Amino acid sequence: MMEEFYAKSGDRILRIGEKYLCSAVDPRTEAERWVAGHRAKVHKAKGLLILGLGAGYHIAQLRKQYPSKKIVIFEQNERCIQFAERLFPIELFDVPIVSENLFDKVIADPAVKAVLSSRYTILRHAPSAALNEPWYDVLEKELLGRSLTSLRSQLGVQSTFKAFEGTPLLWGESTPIDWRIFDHLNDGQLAERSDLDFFVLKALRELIK
Amino acid sequence: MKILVVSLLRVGDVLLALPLFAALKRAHPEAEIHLLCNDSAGGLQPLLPDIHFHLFERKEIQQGLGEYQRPFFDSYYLVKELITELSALKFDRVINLTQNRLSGYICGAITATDKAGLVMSRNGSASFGSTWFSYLNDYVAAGGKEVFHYSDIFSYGTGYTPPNEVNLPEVATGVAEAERILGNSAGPVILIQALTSDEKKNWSSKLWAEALGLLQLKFPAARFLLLGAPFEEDRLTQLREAVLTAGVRAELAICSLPGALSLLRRADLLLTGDTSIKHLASVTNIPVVELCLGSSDFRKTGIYRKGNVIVQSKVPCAPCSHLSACEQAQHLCAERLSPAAVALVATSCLTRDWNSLKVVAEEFGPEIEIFRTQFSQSGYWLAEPVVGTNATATVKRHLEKSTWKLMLEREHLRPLGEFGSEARRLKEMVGQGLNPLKDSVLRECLRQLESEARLTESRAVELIRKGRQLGSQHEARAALRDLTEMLHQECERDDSNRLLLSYLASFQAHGPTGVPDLSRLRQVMKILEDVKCKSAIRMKLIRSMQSQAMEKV
Repeated sequence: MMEEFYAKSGDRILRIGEKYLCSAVDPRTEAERWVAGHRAKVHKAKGLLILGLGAGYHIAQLRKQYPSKKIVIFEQNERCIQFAERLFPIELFDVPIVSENLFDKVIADPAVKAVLSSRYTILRHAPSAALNEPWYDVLEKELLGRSLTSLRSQLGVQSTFKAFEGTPLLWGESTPIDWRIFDHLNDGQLAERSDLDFFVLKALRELIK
Repeated sequence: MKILVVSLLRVGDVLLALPLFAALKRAHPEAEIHLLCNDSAGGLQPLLPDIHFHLFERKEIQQGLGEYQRPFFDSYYLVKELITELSALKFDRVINLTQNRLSGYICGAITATDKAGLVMSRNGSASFGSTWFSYLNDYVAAGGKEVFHYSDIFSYGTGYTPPNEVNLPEVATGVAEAERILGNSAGPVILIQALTSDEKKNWSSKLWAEALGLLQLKFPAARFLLLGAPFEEDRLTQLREAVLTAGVRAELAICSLPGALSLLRRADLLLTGDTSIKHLASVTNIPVVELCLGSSDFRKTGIYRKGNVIVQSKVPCAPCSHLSACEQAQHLCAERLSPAAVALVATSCLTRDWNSLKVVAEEFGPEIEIFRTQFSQSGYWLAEPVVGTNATATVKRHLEKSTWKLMLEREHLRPLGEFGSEARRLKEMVGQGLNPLKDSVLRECLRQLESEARLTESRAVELIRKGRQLGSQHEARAALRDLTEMLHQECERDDSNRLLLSYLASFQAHGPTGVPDLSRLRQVMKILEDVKCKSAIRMKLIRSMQSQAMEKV
């Protein structure tokens, strides 16, 4: 059962069963600390994929400190979404919230595609992710692109690698992916890449040696 | 004008480019000079305020490639964004000082009007933009004996003469660090840079303790400061404890690179292995004693300044490969380097008594060799043995360098090449060096070298003839065998043949037809033509020197 309360700080918060989706004392300070704890990862990324909306305080803090970052939120709980949008109408106004269950459709979502086509990082909001841990675990794996299936999904999104979508990738399904996966491609298959992409791929391969 | 210099190895390698930066500034005072280097070299930024740094986040990129909790395409975008950012700056010139494929691909990707150094193309071939960088790739990497210093190659390869002196201003934070460490020092301050990037290049704690103990006896008021970066503190503490046990009053001097520079400007002597601190010392006046151990190759990376001392053990395996561990049962090169010899060399440097340096070199001659660094009149760095070796070998060494320089500068293609002037400079060098040769001795050396050079020239022609036979299936195996045998014999005569031998090794595994790969064969023939060309240049120099040596007769 989902209930709305007031924290000791006077801010409104959400509780599901016995679990609070944010601090019952001071959710704003908690959100500041959460952002500070992820600062290194956030700073380097152009896009942020946030697993869990919770009560929205951490999103509001992210938008305040990093207004230019592209953010996409993954949240399936409709009540959470309504609560957060009511509490933070401006901060969440233009932030896409993805609730899709099918992972193919998640990756195909235009907002998600936009984030995946540049440097991004995945941040987990633990209290809200705990509401549906299995879904978020699989989702994170898909978004990382480190399994054969998830890489295939992402190849279609990356303009440089779209041509490899149908190419056989000689890799074990259960083995985490690394950049040696493209080793078997001959120069002909790389020929259509732009100069920049060609040289970047070659440079990356040198770094794995 | 915008120039990008790419140096993607260690801090010391960036410091080897200091003469190039100075030459660029001198030639193009208004130019913007940019540097792409590993983030580990970022600590140099305060010392090079006129250089625009771009950091290659190597560790971050490699983590992104290898860590499965990072998005797969993370490193791809990191590298792509870096290259896009660099290309947007529209450089007039990109100079790659790093001889590896990674840097070659990155330079291939960056848009620029002109490129020098290794640049990879889309078809996998490499271009160098200069005979000097080709030389670096082909001959220096193949283990040539008489090779130029990297700083010389970097400058000449880019079309500039390297300055013999480079200046780096101190920064306030560095000065503060140095003053904190030094406090009020009365006696001589001796800095010790004991730790290098490779265990093979390190001298043991026990030997350091012995050497410093002997120095302390000679200079009771001396302060010994063990220099290091913060991440080296634990290891330096262990070294300090070993040294203290031997009764030496050593202190730790943990500081940043700016701090190290300020310390080097204030101290009286630096004892060092092959490290970036040694290269930093080249912009100061501090006397330096460099211990050349393991894979250190002072010919390529010795301290780029005149008047310093290099000490190396006489062991057959030196310098060893930096890619593999020491193959000896004991660390031979380090153990043969006597602490007494190092202490005596240090004493000579501290007291500026260069005559005693010769005495030390003679006394310890069976185990070590001592060199003093200088700049030749021909404009390159060299390290001369303090005790003269065979006169002919000395002349040959200088002759080889001059021959290479003329060939790399393509003097032989000019209607009036600088053979006469170069011969004069060579003659002056051997006549005025650490162990000057009289004209009569020089004439005899030149006579021997002339007959050797004539033989080399004829052998080169013969090698080319045999090389042409390799293209014919009928004679390929016999020709290859003959060629290999001749090259082994010729190795001592002309250094270029080492490279040929490394190419020929790949011919042994050629296909069932017995005909070597044609592209390899073309490379071999090109090198053989270079050998022939070098022989001709060498002969011209010898004859010009003979004529000058006869002038006074």
